[in-house]
Amino acid sequence: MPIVEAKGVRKVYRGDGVETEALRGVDLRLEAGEFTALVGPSGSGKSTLLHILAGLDLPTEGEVWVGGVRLDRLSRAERARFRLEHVGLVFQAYNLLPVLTALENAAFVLELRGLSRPERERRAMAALEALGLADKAGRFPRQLSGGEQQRVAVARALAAEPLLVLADEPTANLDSKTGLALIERMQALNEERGVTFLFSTHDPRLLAHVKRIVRLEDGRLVGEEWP
Amino acid sequence: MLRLAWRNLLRTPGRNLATGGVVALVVFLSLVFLSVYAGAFDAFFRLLLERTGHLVVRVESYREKEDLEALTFAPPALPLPPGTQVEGVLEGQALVIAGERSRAAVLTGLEAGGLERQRKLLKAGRLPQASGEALLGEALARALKVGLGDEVVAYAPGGMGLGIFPFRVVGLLDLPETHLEARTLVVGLGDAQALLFPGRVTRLEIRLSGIGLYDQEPLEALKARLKPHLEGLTVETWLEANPLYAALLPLYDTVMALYVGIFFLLGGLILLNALYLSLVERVREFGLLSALGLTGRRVMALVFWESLLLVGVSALVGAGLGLLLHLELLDGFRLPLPQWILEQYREFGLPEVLYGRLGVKEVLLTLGYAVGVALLAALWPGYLASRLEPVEAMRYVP
Repeated sequence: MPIVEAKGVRKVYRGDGVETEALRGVDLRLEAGEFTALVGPSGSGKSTLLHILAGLDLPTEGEVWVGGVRLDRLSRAERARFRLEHVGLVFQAYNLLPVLTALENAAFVLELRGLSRPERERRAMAALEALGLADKAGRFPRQLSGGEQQRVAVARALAAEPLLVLADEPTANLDSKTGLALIERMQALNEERGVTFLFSTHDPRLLAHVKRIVRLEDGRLVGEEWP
Repeated sequence: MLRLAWRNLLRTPGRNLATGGVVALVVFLSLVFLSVYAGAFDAFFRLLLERTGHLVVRVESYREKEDLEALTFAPPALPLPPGTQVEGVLEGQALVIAGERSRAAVLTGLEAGGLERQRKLLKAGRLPQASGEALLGEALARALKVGLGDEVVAYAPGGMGLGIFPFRVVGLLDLPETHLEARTLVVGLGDAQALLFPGRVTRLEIRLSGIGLYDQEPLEALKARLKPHLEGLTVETWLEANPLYAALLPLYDTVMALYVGIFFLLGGLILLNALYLSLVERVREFGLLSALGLTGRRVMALVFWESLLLVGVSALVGAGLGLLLHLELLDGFRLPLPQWILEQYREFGLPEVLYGRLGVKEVLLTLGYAVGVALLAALWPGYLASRLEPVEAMRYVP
């Protein structure tokens, strides 16, 4: 059974009497352990698709299945709980809570799940170590570089051991070296732990590291590659 | 969540310190106000109790009777608990004459205890110590153009007494109510009885020991015990004997709640403003929380926690300071008011020195208001935060 399955997903935004079709019938299947990049020009619908797959937004038409659960049938609160339990999210910017340390940020989702403090700190610390941030666990986001902040965000997603990590242009705000280093870390985690990743990117240099590339244009899937 | 709420408060220390300061001030002022208010209330009722006694025995239907003979009675023997003081009072109309001047007055005959209670009203001279000595209201003395050591004659014909009695003025009374002062003649009970009605009184004042100011239960119990011994007489508690003032008592809670409510309404608006600003500044953060899996209810709870923490800490500081000042007020204080307002207080018979009182009820009311305001002020910002769409909120540019 696939981890993710989108069937005929359409998304239409309506505002000021204007309709904008962001997704035009997207079909996508993601198997467990995939490390997939979603590529396409700006406005092609990459972020919209990721948001719908994360349950942050609902499709206008179509079905969205994640881990065997039909997300588009869930209520807002049920989708929030589903994300908390099963989906790790990494955003382009503003990923961390500024008042929490790196360790507390990495442990935050586990805290929301109600894990005991020692348990969540153990798991968050392990995630930070895997991303080379063990020595910066006590630092606040303002004391970390952009790349380190993104790695903390990935650590938060991984510490929760989700079914799926969705990352929306995680390297967009990083210089190419830092961006590449982050992708390499994510790739290593994918290979070592079998975590399923789907991330959107503009950066062609990162594509050498992925197992699968899904191309999106004008809200349609226009091609797939397995480099 | 609690840690996140606390650290969020520390992000804008200036604003939260100012808001917390207002809340602390509101709590402080509320407690001080309640202490002073209860102190003034107590002083007023203590004065009333002191004047009346815990229980008062009079003839039945005394309010409809005007004739002195109908109003007087011979004091019966009463089964009273040990330590109880019973004092007879005889009150009647008399014409007070000094040379060619005369004035209508109310002559009050008091026993030694009753005379002693007049001491704090004494403006000049001393209390009567022997038969034929009297206290005169200062205004009455002015009207009669008499002073200490002068002689006045009380004339009250038509009773069973002598009808006329000479007195030497040994003291002048300064009463809160000027109109009463112009009609007051206080003498020993024996002299009053000789003049008006030998062996009779118009009322018996019963004073008990160890009874709380507003404790009515033991009074009702004693009333029930006395009733069989009071043929043709009636016994009332001090509140029943002063129905007009007794009607004020239920207003105490209402006024207290209303005033404190107004304080907190103002504090609540400032708190609401601070919470709303905090929400506007952190829209993206709330979006992130929602994206990570916080349900709307938990987002709302975060805003409530922030409000409760801010108010809780501030309320504790305000309550601490308020209680410290209350400890000072416990020892007695003078109202820091202009003289003309103090005059009004005196008109009501309030003493100038009041004693603060704060009960558990007052402290709980204040803290209850604080918690209530914290919840109410957080309601709207919390609701808005809980309804934020994560994707839109994370794109929000303040």
